[in-house]
Amino acid sequence: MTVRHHPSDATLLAHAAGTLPDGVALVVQTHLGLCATCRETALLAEAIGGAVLDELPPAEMAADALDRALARLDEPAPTEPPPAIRPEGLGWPEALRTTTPGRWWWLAPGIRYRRLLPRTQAGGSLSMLRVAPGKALPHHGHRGLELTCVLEGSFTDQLGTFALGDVLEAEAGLHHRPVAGPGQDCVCLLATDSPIRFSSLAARLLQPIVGI
Amino acid sequence: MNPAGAGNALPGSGAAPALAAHIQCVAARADRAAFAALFQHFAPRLKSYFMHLGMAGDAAEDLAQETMLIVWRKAASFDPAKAGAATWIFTIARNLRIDTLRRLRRRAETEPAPPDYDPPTPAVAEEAVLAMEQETRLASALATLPAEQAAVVRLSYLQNKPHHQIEKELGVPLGTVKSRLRLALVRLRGAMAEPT
Repeated sequence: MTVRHHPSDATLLAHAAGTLPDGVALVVQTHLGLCATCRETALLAEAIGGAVLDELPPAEMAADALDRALARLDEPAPTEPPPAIRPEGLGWPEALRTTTPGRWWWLAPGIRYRRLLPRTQAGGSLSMLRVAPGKALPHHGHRGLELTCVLEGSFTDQLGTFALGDVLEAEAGLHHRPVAGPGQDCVCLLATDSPIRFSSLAARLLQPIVGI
Repeated sequence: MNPAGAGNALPGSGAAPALAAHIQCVAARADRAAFAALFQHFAPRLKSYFMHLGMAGDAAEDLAQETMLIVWRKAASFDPAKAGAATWIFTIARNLRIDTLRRLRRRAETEPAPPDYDPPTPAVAEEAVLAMEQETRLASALATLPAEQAAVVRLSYLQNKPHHQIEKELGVPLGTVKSRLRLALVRLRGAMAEPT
């Protein structure tokens, strides 16, 4: 299985820079777990971060900054908290082990979802969708960035077919209507940095309740 | 590496191998002098980095201190075959900043720490030299990028905003931002791949 659809270079760079919203960053992290090509790019992007840091003009530090640092070296290191318990199920991506999945909710016939992260003030989110074979997601558009990563099954929209590990990166203004592939449910991660806008009235009415 | 040629060297680039060696000295024998040298080089740059990302001077200085404390504690996980000194410290600073912002947002909750770095593997001397040379080459490549490409690259790291908001900053369309980043990555990737 080869991953064919990737996040943009710009998104991989923003991920390495640490400037993506949590949910979007976790989708990129999930993709990186499945895509060696993008892992290479991520390493390059971290190296660029190192170069950018190193060429920054040094800021002036307090006169006793070094003394204070040296005085703290013998402090005991804080103990690391144990990792979160992973939810049941096979193939739960390592990147998601720190999320706290909510229960599954009904969204529309053949479509269920659960939230993985609380919604942020800016309206970003991370959810998991489970779509029955052949079902279409409600027609929607968005104001910001939306990343979808397939974990099981596949879906198709006007940009192509997306299977395990594939990422669909949708920018503001893109209206699309992904349809789940045949044979098995399509399970995917969906992260946004702003609220999704469904085009149908029914879906818009549901949105405040389901919170994606 | 030619320390005498520092006059036309890029900022910091000539120091890369020495800095990596300092981290290894800290790991090997809790070497305080090596730590002090690392602190003198990186702490002011870390403070500058955090200030670029919107922190006040005091908070930025505190976080620079915290970053250096983690450098001291985790020095054994530094693998010079995998990353240069600046790259490794950058990832610590980045993660610490994300954690700090997250803690501020969810003060009430206790939440587990994000995944740690990979366990260290023994460094192969040859690979370590290669990684250091790559870090130096990358710094030169960054310095010779066309100005508009360098600008979007730097903004990606020094603005606390995802790339699709950089367009507003530069007054160019998102498509242009993304294509400049793509071109820049092609050139930087090429610089890393060059045979020595």
